Amino acid sequence: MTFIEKLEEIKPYIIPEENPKCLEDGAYKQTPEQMAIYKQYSMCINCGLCYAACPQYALDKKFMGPAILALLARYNRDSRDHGKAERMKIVNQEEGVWGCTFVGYCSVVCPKDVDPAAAIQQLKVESSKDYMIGMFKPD
Amino acid sequence: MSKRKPYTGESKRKPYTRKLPLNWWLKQIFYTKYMIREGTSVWITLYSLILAWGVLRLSQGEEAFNAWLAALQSPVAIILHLLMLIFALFHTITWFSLAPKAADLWIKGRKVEDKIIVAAHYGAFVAVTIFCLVIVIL
Repeated sequence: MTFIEKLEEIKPYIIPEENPKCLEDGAYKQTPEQMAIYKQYSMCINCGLCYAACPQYALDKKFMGPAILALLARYNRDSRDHGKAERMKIVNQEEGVWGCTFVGYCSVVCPKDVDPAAAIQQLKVESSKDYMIGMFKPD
Repeated sequence: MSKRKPYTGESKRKPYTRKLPLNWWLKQIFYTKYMIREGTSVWITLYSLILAWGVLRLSQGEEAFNAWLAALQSPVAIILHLLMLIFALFHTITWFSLAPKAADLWIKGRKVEDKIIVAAHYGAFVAVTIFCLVIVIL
């Protein structure tokens, strides 16, 4: 998978709820607190420096990589988004967050302070929770 | 208007594939520290095995356990334990400094500051150490 294909795969756009409200009902509102939760991860400019810094990506090109996973976190953390369950299928794979060994250099080289390493470690927590819940409540 | 060539579906792109030489982790101090941090787990495993060996010897009776204790006092064992202590401390310090990245704590709409999370880890570390020390002494 190329970078662009990976980018498409994570669905980097807001997936609305099942019955989205009508246009005449107005826009979806978001508080500054709700925005602060994802804003940092939305600053990525796709420069690819984190990919150049990541030895795990150099070893395995199937790994989704820092920028893609940070962008995935950006949409999963958005209060208006309802695509988390779909994206967690990607997160949970070896090519998802589990290909990361927390070298942490991606966050050092990032020119926009996106901190992909933090996004990935927090997605690992989410993935573990997903796994635990799946054990008791299979769907 | 110029005519476009029909799309054949074949890709002409030649993506650059970065090579990773075997000594990649020696070329940059950040990577070297990372490899040492990962390598410390080998020493910690070794320490756990020595402790587990002691428990096994304890189950074999007083004589066996005393022999294990005596073996720990040899210079080789002391040097080995000092090395394991250094690596365990390196592991602890580097992991504590990375801990804020995995923590997603928000209080009143603000992210908890990194240094507070790191300080909390050191606080817990000291508390558990004192607790264990008290159990061993009493």
